[in-house]
Amino acid sequence: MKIHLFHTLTQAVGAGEIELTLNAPVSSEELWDLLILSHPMLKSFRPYTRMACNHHYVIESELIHPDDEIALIPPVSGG
Amino acid sequence: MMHLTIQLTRDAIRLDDCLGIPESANGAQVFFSGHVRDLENDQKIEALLYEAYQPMAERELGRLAFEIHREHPISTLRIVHRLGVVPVRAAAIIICVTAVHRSEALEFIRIFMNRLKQDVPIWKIGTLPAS
Repeated sequence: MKIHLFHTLTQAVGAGEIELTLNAPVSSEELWDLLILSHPMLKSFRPYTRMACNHHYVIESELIHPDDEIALIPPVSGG
Repeated sequence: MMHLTIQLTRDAIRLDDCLGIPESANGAQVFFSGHVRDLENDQKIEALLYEAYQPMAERELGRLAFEIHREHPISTLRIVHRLGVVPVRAAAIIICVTAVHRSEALEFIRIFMNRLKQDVPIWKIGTLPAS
């Protein structure tokens, strides 16, 4: 699966996307853990970054499936 | 029932393109226009650079609109947000609301802008410093 990154996260990782192989559904917390294992620089962003699944913010205990579109959303600043 | 139009564009946006004559049942048309200032973090700039996670930004704008509409019913809402390079003085966002009475329209815009700045995945990702 592809995880889309934006703004400060793109700068930290050095890319706009992360590729990750998921074989079964995981919780959003587990997905964060996997992402930090593969990209440790994400750890400091976790407390203030929201995860989105299929264009909505994930709610607690929501399951992420391998074919979902995932994005990490740092604090926004539109308008 | 609210009629909603959402547009994210890299082109310049103009208030004249957003305003219209309200339908006869609507006594109020209110707009907010947010412009790029020449100071960002105490530095003189010429432009801001905006980026969006576009499909989610459009969805969140719609979700917020209908959520706020439940408490503050309006008739029409047009949202235009500019992306890419937005020069100083140019509009980055224009919101136009029509409603039966002005109080709903004004309150709707106040709440909508606050929520947009919390939830809609659009970012100011850079500045073009003034030379």
